[in-house]
Amino acid sequence: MISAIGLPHRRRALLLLDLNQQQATIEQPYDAAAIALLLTAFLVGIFYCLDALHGERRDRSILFWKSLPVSDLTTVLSKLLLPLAILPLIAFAAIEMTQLVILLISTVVLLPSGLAATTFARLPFFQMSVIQLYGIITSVLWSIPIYGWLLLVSSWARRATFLWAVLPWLAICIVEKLAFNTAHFAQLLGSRLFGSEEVAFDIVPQPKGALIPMFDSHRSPCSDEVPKQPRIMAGTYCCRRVPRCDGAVAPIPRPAMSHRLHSRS
Amino acid sequence: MACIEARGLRKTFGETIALDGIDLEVAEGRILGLIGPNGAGKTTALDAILGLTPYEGQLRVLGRDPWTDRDQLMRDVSFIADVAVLPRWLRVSQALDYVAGVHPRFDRAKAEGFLARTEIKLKSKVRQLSKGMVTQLHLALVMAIDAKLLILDEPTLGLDLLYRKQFYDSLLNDYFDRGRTIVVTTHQVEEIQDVLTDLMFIDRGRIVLACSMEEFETRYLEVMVNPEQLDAARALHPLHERPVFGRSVLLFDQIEREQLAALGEVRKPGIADLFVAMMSHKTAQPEGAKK
Repeated sequence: MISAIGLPHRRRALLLLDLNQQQATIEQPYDAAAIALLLTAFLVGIFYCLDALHGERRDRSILFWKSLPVSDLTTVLSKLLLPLAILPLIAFAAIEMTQLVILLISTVVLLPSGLAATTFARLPFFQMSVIQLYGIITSVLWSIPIYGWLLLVSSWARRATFLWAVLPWLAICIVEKLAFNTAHFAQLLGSRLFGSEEVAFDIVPQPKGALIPMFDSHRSPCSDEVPKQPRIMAGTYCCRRVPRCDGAVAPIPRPAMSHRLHSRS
Repeated sequence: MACIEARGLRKTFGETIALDGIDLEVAEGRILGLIGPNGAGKTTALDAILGLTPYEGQLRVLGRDPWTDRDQLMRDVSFIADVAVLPRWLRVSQALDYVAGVHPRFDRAKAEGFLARTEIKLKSKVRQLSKGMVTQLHLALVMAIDAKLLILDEPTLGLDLLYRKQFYDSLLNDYFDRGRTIVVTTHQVEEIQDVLTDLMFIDRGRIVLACSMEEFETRYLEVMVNPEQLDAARALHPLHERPVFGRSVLLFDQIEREQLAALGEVRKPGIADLFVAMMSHKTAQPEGAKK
């Protein structure tokens, strides 16, 4: 809202730049909103997964759920439904709504100066939505191993699920740094956490001014990377839930981290 | 076919032996009381039977391996655990919906019928209900399931006298028939004495007594003995002796009633009396070594 005050002035200056830069700059607030909402959904998903099975063990309601003829696999898959389907759908709807509101505000602000049409001329809305949807779907698929790991911790740790989820990875990073002075594992982790778009989109050199490199509509989905995505799905993420205070480690296959470091040149 | 069949059932938690190779057989249509002190292994045994924990040894419940077949087994088995375990955020109507959705043998009308007799409203959340009401709700859900085996682990813990009485009454009158089997553990032994058909004492992971209630009633007798006859009574090797108002009550195993009648007033012991006798008898020997 505040940034809308100087908008007509900035828009005039912008029209002097080349087309790509114009589009990137006009898109900026839309991208920022999308990323904020997606990050929120990601965080909600993370904390939901951490608590999904642990909470049931803590309040012992696991004894009620387990008294019904529902297999552990079904239970775990139903927990995955929230971060993998429900949250992304909500996020997508929220992104579309927010962008519509931004569009309305900027149009109202630009209307007196007669520049409102430039937004519509430069911004390919339908294409943006499709690419956002594609980005959401790929990032969800990309993060399945994360949710799988969190559910595993949730099914196993007695307390401090967050620390159990984070510390082992951190420890590996530190040991690698100390022992070999390299950061391959940290890179791998980073790519798993936030690297979905690198894999999903051909990253083109960033036009100056486009601070947020996500969901730019002038990127195209890269054809050779996309079909690999379903491989991530191939792992089974069945957590056998651990009863009561039994300390036994549940036999959960750890989804293998995709060994695909960026093979692209 | 036996409802529950265990051979050498064993479970350890690190150094602690929770179940020390027990053999167990519960026939269909029985009501078994599993009695033992805290930490005796009752809950571990029930967990194994319910497929909540892995174990060593052989175990078959209704012909299935509970650990690998839990979800299938739960079509025929219901259980209520020692404390109210219904999720607190759940509404009563949601609980009905969910169980109706996942359980093929759940009779929703029946459950609603049970609930209509209580103060529980369908719109309430579990967290708004009192402890007694949560147990009533759980019982209503469980009794509406046409299960072959019902397992109750301290079902009346923390409930007041009125609810406890109601609980067992409705269990017997509305639920139990010869086709069903019930296994119940409790510390309130007296209130299930008339309910049980079979009795089992468990201590330190071992079964120390397993008998039917008929057997229990014929085997064990208690005699109130005056001090002057005490030595004669002790000669018959009582299981246990306790002083009551200047006289002594002695508990005997397999001694003729006539023989005991000569010593004093003979009466039937309660399960609690036998339990105390056997447990203090058991702990008497290793006490010096341990403490």
